[in-house]
Amino acid sequence: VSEPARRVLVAEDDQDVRDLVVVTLTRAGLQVLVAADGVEALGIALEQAPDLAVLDVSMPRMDGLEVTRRIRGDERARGMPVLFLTASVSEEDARRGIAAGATVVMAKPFVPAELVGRVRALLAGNPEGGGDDAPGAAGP
Amino acid sequence: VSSGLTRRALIGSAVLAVLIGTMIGVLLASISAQQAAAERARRSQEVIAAANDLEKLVVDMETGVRGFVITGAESFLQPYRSAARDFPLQADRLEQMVSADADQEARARTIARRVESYLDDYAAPLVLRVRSDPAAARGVVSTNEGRRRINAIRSGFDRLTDAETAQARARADDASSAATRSKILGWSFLAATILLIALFALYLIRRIAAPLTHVAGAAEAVAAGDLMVRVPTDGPGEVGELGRTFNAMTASLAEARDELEGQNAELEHQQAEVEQQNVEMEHQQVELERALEELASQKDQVDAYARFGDRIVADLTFEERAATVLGELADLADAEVGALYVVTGEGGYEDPALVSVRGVEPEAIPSRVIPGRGLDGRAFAEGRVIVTDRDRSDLRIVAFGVPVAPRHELHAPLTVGPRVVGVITLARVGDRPFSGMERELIGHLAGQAAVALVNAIALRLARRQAGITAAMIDSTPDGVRLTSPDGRTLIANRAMQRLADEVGVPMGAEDVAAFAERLEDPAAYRAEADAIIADPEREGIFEYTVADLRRTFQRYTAPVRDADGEQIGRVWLVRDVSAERDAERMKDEFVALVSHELRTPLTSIMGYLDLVLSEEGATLTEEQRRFLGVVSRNSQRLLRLVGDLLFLARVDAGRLSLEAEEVDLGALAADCVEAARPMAEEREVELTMTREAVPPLNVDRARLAQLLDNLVSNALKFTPAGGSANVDVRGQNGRALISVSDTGMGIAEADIERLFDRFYRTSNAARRAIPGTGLGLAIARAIAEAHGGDITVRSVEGEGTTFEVALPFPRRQRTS
Repeated sequence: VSEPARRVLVAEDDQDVRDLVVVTLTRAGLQVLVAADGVEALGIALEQAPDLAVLDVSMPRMDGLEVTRRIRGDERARGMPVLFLTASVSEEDARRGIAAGATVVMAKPFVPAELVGRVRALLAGNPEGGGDDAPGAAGP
Repeated sequence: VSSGLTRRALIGSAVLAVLIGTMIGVLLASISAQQAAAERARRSQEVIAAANDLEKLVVDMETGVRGFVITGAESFLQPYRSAARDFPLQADRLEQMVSADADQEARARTIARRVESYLDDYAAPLVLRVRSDPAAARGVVSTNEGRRRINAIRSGFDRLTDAETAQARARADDASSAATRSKILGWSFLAATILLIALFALYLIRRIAAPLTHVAGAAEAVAAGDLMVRVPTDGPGEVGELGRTFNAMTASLAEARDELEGQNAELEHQQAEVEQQNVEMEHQQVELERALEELASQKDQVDAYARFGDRIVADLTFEERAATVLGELADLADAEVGALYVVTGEGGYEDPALVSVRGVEPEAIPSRVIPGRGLDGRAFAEGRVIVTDRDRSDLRIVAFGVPVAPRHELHAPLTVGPRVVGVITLARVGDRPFSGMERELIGHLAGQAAVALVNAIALRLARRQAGITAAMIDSTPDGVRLTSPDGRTLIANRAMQRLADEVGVPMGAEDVAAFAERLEDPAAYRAEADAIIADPEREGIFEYTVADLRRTFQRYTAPVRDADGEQIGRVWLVRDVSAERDAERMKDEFVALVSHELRTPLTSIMGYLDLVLSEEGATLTEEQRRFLGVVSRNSQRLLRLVGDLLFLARVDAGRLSLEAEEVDLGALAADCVEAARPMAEEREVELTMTREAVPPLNVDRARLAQLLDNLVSNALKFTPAGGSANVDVRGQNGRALISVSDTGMGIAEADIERLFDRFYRTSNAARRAIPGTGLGLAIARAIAEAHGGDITVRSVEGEGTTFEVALPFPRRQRTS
């Protein structure tokens, strides 16, 4: 069954991490749109209407929280699922992300297979599934 | 009761009056009856008289008629006619007079009827016949018809008068007996009345007059002074009452008199005493005069005291005062040489030290007095003046360039109350001993000097203490301030002055309101100020930030008490903690930054490793796979370290937030045991679990799991292969107990104290190169304490270790 590849926006300022996410998602058969900062990410999110946004929280020019708020405030992208990646994981950060409109928050570092699972679940309209970690859980 | 006597008198009088009245009434009635009887007798006489008149009239009529008939002379008719004319009237009158007696009235009427019959049937026709036939008339007369008729009439009259006479006699008898009866009654009544009055008088005398006489006599006796007299009290009503009252009055009079007599005796006694005292006072006056004379003689001595007292307190410093004391006393005693030793307490010595000399070099005499040794030492120890004459002395003083020895010495103790505080030694070179009077004088003045010297020492001590205190509180960079209970500043150190000048920290209640306005949270500051005013016992730390200066201050305040526990004020410490708060903020930021900056590269490392190992694993050689495994394991370690550091930073910042939920502790522990099983198997340690059912706890599941993981992995790490580890869960004393025990190498005694410190590694761990950061137990303790619990350890080196975590059950107070 060949259906059009789902398009995922990946916004991450650290190039190595960005590449890791891109490789992981591309290998999972997804079409990836790439942004290196928040402003760029917001532009792509609003102009190209991807199916999902994977956002780093701390980015230059505009952070992930602000990007999410603007996505939620714009009717073109209002319903887009947003997955947060954050390196400074604490309950407080997770709460702030959810408050800004994130659908799921994932801690860095992440296990690539888990990221794929989360993304697939979100694309299937099921934010809770796809991973065995609750938002904000740090590694062991 | 008061009306009793009156009532009795009234009743007695009334009875007497009624009796006498009745007697007089009966007497009057008797007299009336006698009068009535006399009246009736008189009436009978009148009736008899009237009947006789009427009879005579009838006789006259017959006589007249007969005469006329016989003679025919008209003159004889005259009596007949007047009698016939008067008769009816007279007969009526008689009839009226006897109308009270029916028999007499009937007789009177018979008489009247016969007379009428005589006139109508005999006399009148006879008279007419004379005129017509005188002879016939005479014949008629000769028949004595008239005379017969008249005699019958006259016999009627006789019967009437006889009856009337009998009646009159009977009535006279009646009247006479009535008069007799009246007389008897009168005499009887008179006798009865006299008897009654006599009885009444007797009663009055017996029951009223006699007791009154008693009372009067007793009153006279009382007036004469006999207060023991008593009267009978058995009289009726008021009289008895009068007797009782009189007796009571007499008794109370007697009592008052006794008292008066007692007082009188007392007064006499006092008067005697006063006289005695007067005598004594006279004696005393004599003595007083003698004493005054003595006083006058002592006045010079007193003046000397006074001058001495004035001079020794003129100087304020101890040294000046000591020199003055010695100089004055030496002058008074005419002593050329002198030394003053005082217990100053300096240098920790309790013995008197030399503080002043006169006429001798200080080096030539001892610098201290040893109590009990030498004359000065004895004067000090025994507290009395000692005088001595010396034949020989090693001490030499220079006079006119020639060394001479003192001849006479006086050692006087300086005493303040029971305490000896020093000794003064005076000596004369000349041959004049110290007199008893001089000894006494110097002894007294030494006491005075002692007080002045002790005061000077105390003042010096106080000044030094004040200087030390000021220097000490000035040496701290914190502001220190002491306020009185009403809020005035008593002491403020230099730092406090600076804080007041530069920051505007309040120095009094009047500055508080303005200062509060400059703070980030004025309301909290004002509330705290009010709380302190409301609660004088309040003690504690309060922190505020001055908004315009962006500086933060910590203020500690507490009540200050004197030795008796009475609150004498409040101390305030103000510390600038801006730098500390900045450092904490920077540390937080730093930790967050480091955490972020470390995780980002780790993300790439671990992510790509995972990609390689999971997706391209097939293309790797066994050795490559092993090498990459090492990289992966160390990345994990690094990541955990970063996590632990971040966790402890949060604990330090007080930002460790717990997400409490109801947790089955046994199940949670079992999960942890299962998660650690691969590691146990790898290390060949037998891992077991024992549990009792405990009520659910209200805890943060992830944190508690982290705590247990740390303890279990420690147990496995420090237990050699072949050993065992056990996790036990049970309830005890209202708390849940989790014990993690092992049969490992144990912990050295020396390590236990610091076991929960950060980064602390035990000697065993270091020696055997067991990997670890030294953060695991610190985190375990932080988690246990955040839940209101604690963690303890028992260990025997070479035998094993047991960690025990105690957590409160939910109903108990929580401090999370």
